[in-house]
Amino acid sequence: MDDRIAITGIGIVSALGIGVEQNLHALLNGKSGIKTIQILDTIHKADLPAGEISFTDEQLAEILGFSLNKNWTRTSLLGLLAAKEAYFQAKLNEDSKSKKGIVSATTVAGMRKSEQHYTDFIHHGIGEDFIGTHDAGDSTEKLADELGIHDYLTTISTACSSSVNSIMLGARLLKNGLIDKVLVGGTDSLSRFTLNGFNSLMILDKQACRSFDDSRAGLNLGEGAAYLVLERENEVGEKPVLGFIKGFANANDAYHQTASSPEGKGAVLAMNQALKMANLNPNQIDYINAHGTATLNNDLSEGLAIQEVFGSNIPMVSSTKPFTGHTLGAAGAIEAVFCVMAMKNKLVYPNLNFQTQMKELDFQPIKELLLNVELKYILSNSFGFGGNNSSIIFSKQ
Amino acid sequence: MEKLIQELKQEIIEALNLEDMEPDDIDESEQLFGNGLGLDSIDALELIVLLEKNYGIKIENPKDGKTIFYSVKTMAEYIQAHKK
Amino acid sequence: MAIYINGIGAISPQETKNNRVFLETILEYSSAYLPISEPNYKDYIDPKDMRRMSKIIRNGIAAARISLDDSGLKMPEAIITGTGLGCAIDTEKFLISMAENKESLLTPTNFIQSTHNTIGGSIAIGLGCHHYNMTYVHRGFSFETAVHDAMMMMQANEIQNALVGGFDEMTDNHIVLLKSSGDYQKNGFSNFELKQASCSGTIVGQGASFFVLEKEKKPNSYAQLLDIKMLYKPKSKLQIQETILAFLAKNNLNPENIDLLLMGYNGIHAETRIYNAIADELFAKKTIAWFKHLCGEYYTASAFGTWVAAQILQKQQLPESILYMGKNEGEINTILLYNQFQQEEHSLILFSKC
Repeated sequence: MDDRIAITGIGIVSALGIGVEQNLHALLNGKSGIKTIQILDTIHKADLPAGEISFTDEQLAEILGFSLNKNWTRTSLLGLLAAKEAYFQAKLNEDSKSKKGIVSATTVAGMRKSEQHYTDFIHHGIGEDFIGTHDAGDSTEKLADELGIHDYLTTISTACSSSVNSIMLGARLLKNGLIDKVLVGGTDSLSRFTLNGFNSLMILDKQACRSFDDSRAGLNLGEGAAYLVLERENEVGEKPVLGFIKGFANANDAYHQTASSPEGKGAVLAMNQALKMANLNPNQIDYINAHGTATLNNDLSEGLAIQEVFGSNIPMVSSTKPFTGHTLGAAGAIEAVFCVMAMKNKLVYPNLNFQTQMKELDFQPIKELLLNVELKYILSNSFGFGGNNSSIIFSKQ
Repeated sequence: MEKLIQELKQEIIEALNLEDMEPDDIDESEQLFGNGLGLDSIDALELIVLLEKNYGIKIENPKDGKTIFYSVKTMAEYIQAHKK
Repeated sequence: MAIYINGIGAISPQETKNNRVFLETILEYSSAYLPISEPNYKDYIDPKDMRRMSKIIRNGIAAARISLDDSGLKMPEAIITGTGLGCAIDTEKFLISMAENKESLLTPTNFIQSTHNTIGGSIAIGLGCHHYNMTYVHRGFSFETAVHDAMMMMQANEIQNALVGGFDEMTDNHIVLLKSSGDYQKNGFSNFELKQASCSGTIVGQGASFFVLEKEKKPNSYAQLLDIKMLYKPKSKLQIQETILAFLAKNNLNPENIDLLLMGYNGIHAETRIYNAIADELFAKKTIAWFKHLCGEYYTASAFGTWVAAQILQKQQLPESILYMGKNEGEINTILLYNQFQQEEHSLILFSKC
């Protein structure tokens, strides 16, 4: 616990844009990335809006400076865009001495490509090119090979909490001393598989999602990637430190495969344990970036859990999913990057589309963008299927 | 109605993988969720698809499942009233 | 700080569910891939909970149950799993149903269970375990990262014990895909022929292996887990050798101290050449054992290798069926497990007798 874990690079690609600047611009202007699906080939284009990134795979490859070939999935392309931004900001590209690792998260992996070819293959025996990119490890190795990371590699998949968990493992690897610099985050592309999967659960809203609103009717999916570079504070050198990882915890709800417990037991445990590790009292948290998917179940359970942990002294709360959609394995990292941007720029993001307070809750999320707010400590929640609940706390100093 | 109830029981057993059950093990008035058969929210979604697939009945709001799927009997009554 | 393997559980193509016997009978298969020798699942899982569970979930939960019962641990302080493909059959079912029904009339069960952390989550629900729950999905490092994470948390004194497992399954379609693109044997080839194979190629398998790791040594401890190391895409044979020597040195050992080298020989000639080079050049005259002819090749086969290592150390038995080269005599105090997946993810796990 002696070495503080510093954040020295951030990178992001979401429906709000490519890079920190474009994302910040959209957040400042209250401009959501949720819209009619244009690029993904699905029969749900008209009825299920999503936070889709407005570039084809070919265009993404072009932005990255190469021409698309069969080895690259959309998940890897988005991942590399965000990873490069963080990696270069932390100047790891100029650092050949340090031991470097990557911990990346994904839930959909290469499914976007697999789903295009799977039945063709089964029925006609053709199109087997996707097998090398199908599994979750593929995108991580693509990023590692492109950036020259080889001292530690792994991939996490714990549904919607995946990329907060990758930040946690990265921090633990640094404390353990096994590696010196670690790139952590996650990447997920939209796919028919996840769109239809969530649709079969009847938790997708046909309109723009309304987190923590009494009229909420489900989530919108999104796609994107985000990465952070973590280092031990005393080895950062001259680079600016963007923030610190102050505490984190993962706890299990152990209630149901998909639904959260009514009282949010796992969420309460995760938040309390993260506070304990950070050595903070609940009233020291200035802002909560909530999981806030806008499903009936999540927002109720998370809302009650926040009330349980923070009592009558509830910090500012908002969900940024109405901006980006739920980006699954990338969500925790995207929101971590948003938290770092919020501390630096003294912002609290609005919970878009909110109108009516939930009957069951005592609090409302932040409705309008707040400027010039000094944020010392931010807590971010990410909860997933399998009862997987993670909370992480960032600090400015 | 009796025939529909028997048919439904068989379909429920298959759709929900109630491996060790026979249609006669299910009481038509018995509660399907909660205490009775002990089904959960995922089963409710499976039953919604069953209604659409086998009977052409579409349920838009999963909340409506609560009353429709109270028992095999209530399901059968709903099917009779809404079957196309 | 010492970490002990205090409980083990494996569901595999072999008869492994009973830990008191150690590979007494060996099953031969000549199917497209090795099937699971299925236990009576009702011995481990409440039938009421089982109805929606696919085979891999049942195998995972059964293996976890066996290892917990074996150790006597009721509530692990962490559940950490590794899997390369996750629930492949559920994933494939949803994919096919989505294509055949043109994205309509889809039921959620297969989708929910396609999530990689389904088994970790299901074990937590079964135990009512609210503790740390993690799933690693990185090819030949999946199980290794799970073990490493558990070890780091124990060393940092965050936890005193953990349930750690690795599992993968194969599907009838996936095997065809693999065979069209890689080093895999044709149908009708037996797992017993893997060593003699005149043509290069491996045989695919599956399985679930779980372990209870604890800081406390107990009368029923199987082995001490000394250390683990992963090596990604080594540039040369020399780099592998240097890594092995450095790994041993870090643990105050040299090749002379290793009583048994357990390696991932799988029938692929390019990999055999590497294993042979390590054996000949670093561990000359040492006894060498293997295990992939019994469990098949898959991303988390090293979890089965760990089960084999734990059994050897506790029972002080080296079944003839796993002896690859060398003498089968003397005490076995230290085992080095060296595995690789398609020459990309290499891993080292070091065990010693309790």
